[in-house]
Amino acid sequence: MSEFAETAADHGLANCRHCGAVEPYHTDKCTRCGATRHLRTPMSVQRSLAWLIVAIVLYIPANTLPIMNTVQLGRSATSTIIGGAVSLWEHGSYVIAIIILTASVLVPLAKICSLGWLCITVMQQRSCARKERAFLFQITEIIGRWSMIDVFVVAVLVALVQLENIMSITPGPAALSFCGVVIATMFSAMSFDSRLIWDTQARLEETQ
Amino acid sequence: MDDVQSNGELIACPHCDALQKLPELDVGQKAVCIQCDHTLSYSIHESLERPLACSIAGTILLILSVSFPFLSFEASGREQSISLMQSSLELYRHGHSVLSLLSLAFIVLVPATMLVAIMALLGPLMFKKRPVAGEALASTIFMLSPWAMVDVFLLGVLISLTKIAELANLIIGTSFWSFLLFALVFAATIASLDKRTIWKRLESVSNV
Repeated sequence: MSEFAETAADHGLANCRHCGAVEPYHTDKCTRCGATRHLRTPMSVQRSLAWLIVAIVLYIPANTLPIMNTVQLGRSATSTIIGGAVSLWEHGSYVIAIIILTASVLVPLAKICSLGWLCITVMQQRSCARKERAFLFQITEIIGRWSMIDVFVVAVLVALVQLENIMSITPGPAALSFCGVVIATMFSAMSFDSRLIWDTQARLEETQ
Repeated sequence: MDDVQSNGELIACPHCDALQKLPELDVGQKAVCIQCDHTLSYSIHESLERPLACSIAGTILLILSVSFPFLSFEASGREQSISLMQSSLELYRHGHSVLSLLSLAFIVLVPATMLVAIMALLGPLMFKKRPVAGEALASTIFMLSPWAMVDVFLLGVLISLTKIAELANLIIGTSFWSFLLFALVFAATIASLDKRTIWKRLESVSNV
């Protein structure tokens, strides 16, 4: 344990999640901002996993159902997220195809996997790779919102391309599911208390 | 523990709970956690004036961004022009009311709420006055910040433009340029807002 810094919990202190004030953890409310004080966010891993399950369930319709319908000169075509990226690739827009594929397919999948792994390792109270897991969590938190790109692309195209039979675009059911995936993974990351990564069995028994 | 509490520089890392003393920061310096490298605090020149000035500029730019045509799309002699709000609201017309509301919230409502809260908080703080409901305002600002997706939306717009650029004539409206500036100013506002500085200032005026 000596290789790690002493935590606030070791000293019977806890910082406020809202304003950062460090006070004894047995006080109910933060004296600075009035927020409820917890040593660790209650049920953090359970909540995080629950949101993660929501995200996994929504991820299926988000990728299998069409995200938008395109009507061009009377012909109608639907496209999924992956289908859209593939057709961009075929048209030679490699950079955009890669951005869409990364933001809409890889990033949510990577987020789900990394949050799942973080929850499991915390539940098993593993002591390996703490610094790497902490770094992974910070990355997960930062990139989460960028997955929303495809939803915004659909919103703009639907609003802009409305020339009836000449060319028009309507939103598909996957747009809402996909938005749900992004929101659920964001809530999952917010529910996860990263301080748990650094907690050891000995520490937890002492303070609880 | 009493001598520990009387020292105002004692903080716990919000990410890993490591208890540490924060040294006095010079302008341009930032403090990172001794254990997990998370940025704890940073010091910039004019730490209240800069975010306040940026938020006022941002508010003006946001008002401009919603008042003029954002983009126009022209094909076969027909033209469709949309405003910034319409890029979200058109989804409502297609039966995606939830998606429409979420999109509007991420692009306009959340950033607008944050800007108003920043002005209401930092305005009085600059004159060493106690802001009305200062604690609630500060909590709101930092809680909302992951949900402001101005930058993500901008990238989404650029992608949708390249998707349809070859199909028709695109006209970039006045609001597009002001929104581009708004995205930059908004990012600058958030970047210049140090959580610890804000709460310390708030605490110092509350105790008077």
